[in-house]
Amino acid sequence: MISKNSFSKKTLLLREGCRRHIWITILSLVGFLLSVILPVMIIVQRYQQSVKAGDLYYTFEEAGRDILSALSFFNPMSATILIILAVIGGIGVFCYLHSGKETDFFHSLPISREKLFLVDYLVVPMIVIPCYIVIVLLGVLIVSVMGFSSMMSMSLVLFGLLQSALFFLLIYSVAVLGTILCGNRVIASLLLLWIYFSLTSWIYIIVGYLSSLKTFVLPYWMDTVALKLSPILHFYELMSNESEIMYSANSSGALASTDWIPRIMASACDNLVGCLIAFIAISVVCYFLFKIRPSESAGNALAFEKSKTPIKIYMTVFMALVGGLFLASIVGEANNYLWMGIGIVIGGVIMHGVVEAIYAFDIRAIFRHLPHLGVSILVAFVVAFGIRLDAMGYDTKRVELSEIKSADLYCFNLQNNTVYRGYQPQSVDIFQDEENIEKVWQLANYCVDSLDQETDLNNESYLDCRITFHMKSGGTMQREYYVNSLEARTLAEELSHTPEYLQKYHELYRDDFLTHLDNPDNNIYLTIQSYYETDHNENLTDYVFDPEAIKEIWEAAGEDLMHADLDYLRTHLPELYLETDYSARIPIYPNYYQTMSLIQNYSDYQTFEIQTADVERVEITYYRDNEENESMVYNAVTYYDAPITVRVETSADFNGNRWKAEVTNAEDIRGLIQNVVPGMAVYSGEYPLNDSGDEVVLKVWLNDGTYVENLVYLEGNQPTELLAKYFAEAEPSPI
Amino acid sequence: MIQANQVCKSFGNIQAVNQVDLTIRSGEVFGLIGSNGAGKSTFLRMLCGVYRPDSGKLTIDEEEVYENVTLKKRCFYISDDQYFLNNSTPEEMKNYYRMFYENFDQERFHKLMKGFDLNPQRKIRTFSKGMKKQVSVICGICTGVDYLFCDETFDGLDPVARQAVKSLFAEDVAERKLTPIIASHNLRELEDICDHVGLLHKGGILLSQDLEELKLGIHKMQCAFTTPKTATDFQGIEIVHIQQRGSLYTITAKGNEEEIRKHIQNMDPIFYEILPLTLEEIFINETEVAGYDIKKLIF
Repeated sequence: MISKNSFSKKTLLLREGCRRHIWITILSLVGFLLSVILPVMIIVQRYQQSVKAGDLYYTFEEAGRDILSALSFFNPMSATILIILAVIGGIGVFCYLHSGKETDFFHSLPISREKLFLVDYLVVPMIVIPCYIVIVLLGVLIVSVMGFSSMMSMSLVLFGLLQSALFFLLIYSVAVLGTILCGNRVIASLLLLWIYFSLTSWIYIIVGYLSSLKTFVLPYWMDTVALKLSPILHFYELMSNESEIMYSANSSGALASTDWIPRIMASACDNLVGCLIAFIAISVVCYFLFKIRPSESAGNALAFEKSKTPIKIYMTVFMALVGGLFLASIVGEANNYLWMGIGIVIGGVIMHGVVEAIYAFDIRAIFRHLPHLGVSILVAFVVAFGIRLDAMGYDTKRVELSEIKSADLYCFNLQNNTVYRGYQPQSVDIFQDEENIEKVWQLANYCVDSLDQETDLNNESYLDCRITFHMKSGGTMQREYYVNSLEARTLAEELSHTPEYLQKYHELYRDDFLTHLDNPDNNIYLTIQSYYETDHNENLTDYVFDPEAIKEIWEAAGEDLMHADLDYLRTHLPELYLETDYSARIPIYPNYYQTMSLIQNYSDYQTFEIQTADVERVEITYYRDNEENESMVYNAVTYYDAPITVRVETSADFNGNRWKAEVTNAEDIRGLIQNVVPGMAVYSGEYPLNDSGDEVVLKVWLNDGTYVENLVYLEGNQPTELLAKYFAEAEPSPI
Repeated sequence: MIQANQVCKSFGNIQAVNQVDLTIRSGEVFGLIGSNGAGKSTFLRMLCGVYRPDSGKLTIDEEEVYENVTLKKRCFYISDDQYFLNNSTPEEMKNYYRMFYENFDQERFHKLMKGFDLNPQRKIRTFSKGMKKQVSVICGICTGVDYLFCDETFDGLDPVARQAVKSLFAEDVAERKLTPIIASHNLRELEDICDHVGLLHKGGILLSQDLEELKLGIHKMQCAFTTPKTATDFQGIEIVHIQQRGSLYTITAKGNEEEIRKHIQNMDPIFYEILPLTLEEIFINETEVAGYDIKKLIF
């Protein structure tokens, strides 16, 4: 009987609470109507316009999926509304704790703090979540009536509601926590910003300091973890991931099926469980804090006297580290310790002063509790300099060979990244073979040994590689080395041509390519293309449309690559390249006999050569650096992680830096074109070759009026005398 | 019965209530008087369970108040700065209070609202300060609680309303043994209604006595002498305050009226008379003894 009375009283109080906070209901309904119903109506209208126009640029299926995603998992607008409601609802309902008058009223009533908390805590979710459900279901009803019922998946809609509700509850619980912790509304809002975003920011600040280490690699999970520490960012991130799943299904043509729906649900499952646990944990903390919160703290900056110092030190250390990183980065030297130190002091002093002034509501209080400032700055110094000076031995860490289970190697400057699959942030077990693992381990040791030496990007022994060791104990050690070491470079080259490496990294062994090829809807065709760049494509490009033929050529190329001699690949130019919509360019070398033979069989591609007799004239473009313009030509390694010298041309200051000369003398033409090679081939092979320094580029005009351009010389193959002769006649050619 | 035993409450470095010992009997009107910042409101907030005492024991009918829902159902707190639910009317406030106070007398509420000429449907935010006070008092009275804690309740009430409120209190005290504890600076108001007063000063209790006893125990006398008198002449009387203007002496003294009178007569005065002593004068004299001298504030 007592519990029944108690229940009915709670219900009454809850109803009264909802009535008192009617503004939340109004705000929820208006917000959800604008963020759910309105976008859905816009999608429907867009589809109808597409139908009316008859061009079907927006298909029924795409419109249906967009509507479904907007009503379920991907609707940034309704997510934003939910976040706003959670924050202002949490503050709005509990902000009476910040007013002495209101606290006196509520705390003098004959109701236990537990019950008071429970009633207040439930008010906002009891309003917002039902409003959201009603609006979403209304949206489903509307679009079903408008003919999209076949595209509606109620399980996905319900999943979306669950996901949104859980994130709403988590963000709301944090808002309540911040409100209970503070005794003032403005301070509560400021503190909430810290609670919502500071943990994520901590990760990035620490990463900022770690990135000054020579071998630091940002772990692939860092972003995910960082975002998970902020419920707001995590909410958006999860939505974005789910949307990606849907769009990847769309791009692979699987949108028509519903296979992607369980994938979305499965991908979010762990996150939602984590979200639920975090919500429960924070709610319990809120409950206990509410219970012990002294009523007299209304109006104070913080409700709990004992929390003042830890919170202040937390903020001060953070801002000191931000200040250190900021000053060190704006002075432009990553290891500028003096400026980093000054930044730490400035950041710490400012934050300490601000917090003290807020605590005391008195600007004159900024220098109170100076020992706390000292401790904060000391902690910041220890963290910042500890990382910068590598006190933990991060760079020089070596592992025992016996502890390694598998290894991964990615060489950024060894091979041509346009050909290979490219950098994979998520490390994979490339090397399982013991012999290879030992070589990688040896390579890591060579790299550690060479860390102290100066690096020269243009040196042939330069190596930029990322090494990952997966340990038997379950841990992972990942480092990226930039070193000049001939031993390391040689070892890396050997490893990069092992079957284990090629099968994991090379485009020719992509596991999904043949799957795409097997799907007739993809209409994959193979382009066979010469590296010569001309204004006419006859005989330089051909296509293979038969999937079986493509498969045969593809597999033959893979086999040829596997059997190709490393030295050969490093010293020869590829003849042509293969390309599809689903792959990068695959260079084909003259000694890929099996592949070349199949190409001859399945296409009309013909090898191109420039015959002297066909040449009418040659245009030579000279690029000469002078001291003033030296900075305009630089090595691109810094930017592209590849040893390719590129020319940076700016229209503003290029005058005098480019000269042109024209050659019509047949003898000279012969001499000039004797050793030219297509510029694209020089840096597009499996292992890029060195050209003549990119100082001279030729354009050859043929008798039929067409031309071949971007012809260069390999290193040491320049007809120096001829070039010098024509350089004397060349005229400046501003851009 | 309310009992405070060595009750302390501080806010940071400020000792608001310091080792207060006090007993308030049920069914009597208790006036809590004291200088500014003496801790009256803090003490009331502890009594109604808003604040938890830092130390000491505060009980109502031998039960601690803080977080004691059953006990709090028998108490009602009328704050100096009252709060009403946003945009509410007296009727809505009544309904809200009914959720907590099962014995809320609705009939009486409407009768009193009518009696005080207050519209129960009008938004409270449109009421004047005095009208808001009246609504609070009416709600408090109608809850049917045993203990009513009033903080500066008469402040802002017009004389008629003040009398009406006093009558209400008196009626409930007589009929159902209501115990109003009234903290006020308006000592003249308290004088009319209180049975017992407690004097707080700088967080501590200076005195707690029945008003009649208090008045009987302290006397003000004016007398004139032909020859000047010194303090030694008044030995034998517990002088609280003495003021001399020429041959006219105004004396405030503690003790039996008859004994004081006899002592003065023996000093052969030209004339003497006993003057009525107000609560305000008692307050000033007592606090002056404790170092709270009005002259120090002025000069």
